[in-house]
Amino acid sequence: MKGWTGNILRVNLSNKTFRKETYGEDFATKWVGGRGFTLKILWDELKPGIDPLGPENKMIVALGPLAGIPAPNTGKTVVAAKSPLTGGYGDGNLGTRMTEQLRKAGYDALIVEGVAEKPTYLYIEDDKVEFLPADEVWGKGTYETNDWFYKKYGRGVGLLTIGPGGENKVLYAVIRSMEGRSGGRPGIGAVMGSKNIKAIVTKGTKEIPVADPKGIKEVGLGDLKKVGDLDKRTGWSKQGTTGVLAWCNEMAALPVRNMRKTFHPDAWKIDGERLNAARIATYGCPNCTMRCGIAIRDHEGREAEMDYENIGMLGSDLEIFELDQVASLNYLCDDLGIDAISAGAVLAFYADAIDHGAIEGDFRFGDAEKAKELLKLIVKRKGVGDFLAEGTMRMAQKIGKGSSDYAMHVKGLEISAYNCKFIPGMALSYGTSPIGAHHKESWVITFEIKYTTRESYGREKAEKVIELQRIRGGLFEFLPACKFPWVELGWGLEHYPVYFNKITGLSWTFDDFWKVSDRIYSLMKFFWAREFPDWDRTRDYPPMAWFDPANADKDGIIAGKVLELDKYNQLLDHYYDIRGWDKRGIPTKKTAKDLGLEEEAKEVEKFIKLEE
Amino acid sequence: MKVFVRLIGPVAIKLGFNEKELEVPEGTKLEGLFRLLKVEPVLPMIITRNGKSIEPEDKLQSGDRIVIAHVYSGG
Repeated sequence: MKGWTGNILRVNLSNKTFRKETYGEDFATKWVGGRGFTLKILWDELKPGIDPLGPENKMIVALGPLAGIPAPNTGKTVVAAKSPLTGGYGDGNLGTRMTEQLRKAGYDALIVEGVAEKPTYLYIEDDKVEFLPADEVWGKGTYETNDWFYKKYGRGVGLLTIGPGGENKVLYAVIRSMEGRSGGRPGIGAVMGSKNIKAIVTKGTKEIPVADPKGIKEVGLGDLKKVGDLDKRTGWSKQGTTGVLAWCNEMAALPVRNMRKTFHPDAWKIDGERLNAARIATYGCPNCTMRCGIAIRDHEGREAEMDYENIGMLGSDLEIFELDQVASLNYLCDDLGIDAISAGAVLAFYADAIDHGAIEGDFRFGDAEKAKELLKLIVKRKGVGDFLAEGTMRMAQKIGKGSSDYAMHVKGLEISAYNCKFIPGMALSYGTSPIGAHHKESWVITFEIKYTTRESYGREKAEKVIELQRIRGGLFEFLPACKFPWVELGWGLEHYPVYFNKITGLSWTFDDFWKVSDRIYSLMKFFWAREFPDWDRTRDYPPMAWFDPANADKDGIIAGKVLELDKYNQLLDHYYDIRGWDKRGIPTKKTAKDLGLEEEAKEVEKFIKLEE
Repeated sequence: MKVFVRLIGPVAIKLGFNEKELEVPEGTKLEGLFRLLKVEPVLPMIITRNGKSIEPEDKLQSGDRIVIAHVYSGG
């Protein structure tokens, strides 16, 4: 078997043991890697109903055939666990040197189970695993933690860390790497913290097994340069992801004031052009020639690396339009190790609930200094911070008074920075995203405006959402690789089967890839259904605020318009029908059989009856 | 007649301005505006008028807000 090491490293923290396990071609070709591996392992090994922050949960780190190979944007690693934020399947990807180092150490995946007795870090070097004390860095921010490990092991090691947010089990704590990189929005950092693991350090010296080393080197390195040239020619990375902020403001899709509004006259103060003008450094992931991490000086003079989602949620959604203050909030989230998107959404919801008299408090939209104080309280879980650390879904459950309607999440994961009050297809993308509301799975706003109409709830929108989920949530998550060359620069999708086949020696076509994508999406739904046997389609709804006419914009291009629930249900019907899922949104037995999920269907039927 | 033009992202960098009110003859089409501004797309573009997609052969109306951007894809 070429293209995969065939090895998984299993580490047990409770008894400080480890062992190398092997897998064969059947597993490799059925699940490929990345998200496919993490999902299947968690499905097989977790008992439903376990406490996500208890010893029975497992944290999985997984790579795949493209990981670490010199080719466009192959520096991605997937981290996953049962999510403490949503209670369902949770994962995320991040660009990190861990990708290459773990593969060179001889593994395609790492399973971390049990709980360490004391704060610990794992040191993995090829066949060796050490459990080492992390007392010196426990409690430290991720920047200082990174430096500490770099000094000890050198900058070239693979390194995943958590900040105080993960240590104190903030439900939206993330895993961090290489200063600016974060992954695992659904609280995977909290799972790592619950296991008393501050960091995983990896160094590898082995060859990554590849079927055609000369071929992939020639094509991969050549294409890396071509992608870099394309970026230079188009000027995309001058603003990177942040260019979309000004466009969202024009299209009435910007999150403003807990998504109550869709545009703001001051949005230009925090847009991509202002960011580029303030740039002091640029960062990127390994094997990337279109680096999108734009760093600026924050209000306190520190270097903060920004992207669109963070600016949208910590800036416009909180009505903070001073770029250096938004940078400060961004810096704090990164250093404290919490997800900037969810943190922004939590603060916005808190301010909104106070504004509506649902809860007492002294935080108001636009108050950057108070927002900083709150972020620090959140990671310490002190005072109101303990309440805010639980995420919007649980906050709303505690507040009551109808606040769930404007708690901006799906399945417990906070909505990222696209306000879909009147964008039905994108609302469907968020509604059906298999880890809760995340833009990484599918993004259809341009399609809705350019190729159809915003008003449409037609089948073509459900088809487009699924097409993009197969590519973005499937292909790029199981190879895994960063989608930016394709999604932002138009780098042809046809390159990816070429890379894959040169690495594995197989002759796969897109049909093979899409079957894996569909298999993964259906098994993710089984995972949720097994955890929540009372599952129904309302869990695939976006927040009710987007359907509330009283919440419509008063002026602008979508004045008076909101989503319509009966039409959203029609759109959801189209989506389920195309996927071969029933009206509850659960795969049928036939779909499971077609996708090779017969055993998984039998397992889920112990909890919930499937339709034929 | 007057139209308002808003450029976003690489196209703004290329043409050197973000927004501008322009006087154009009655009956000017979007393609005419492109020629006037010397827009040369380096990436697929999305052009909207008052928030809705507009085609090159569509005539502009007085007071239109034309937004020209490359096709964003949601990161």
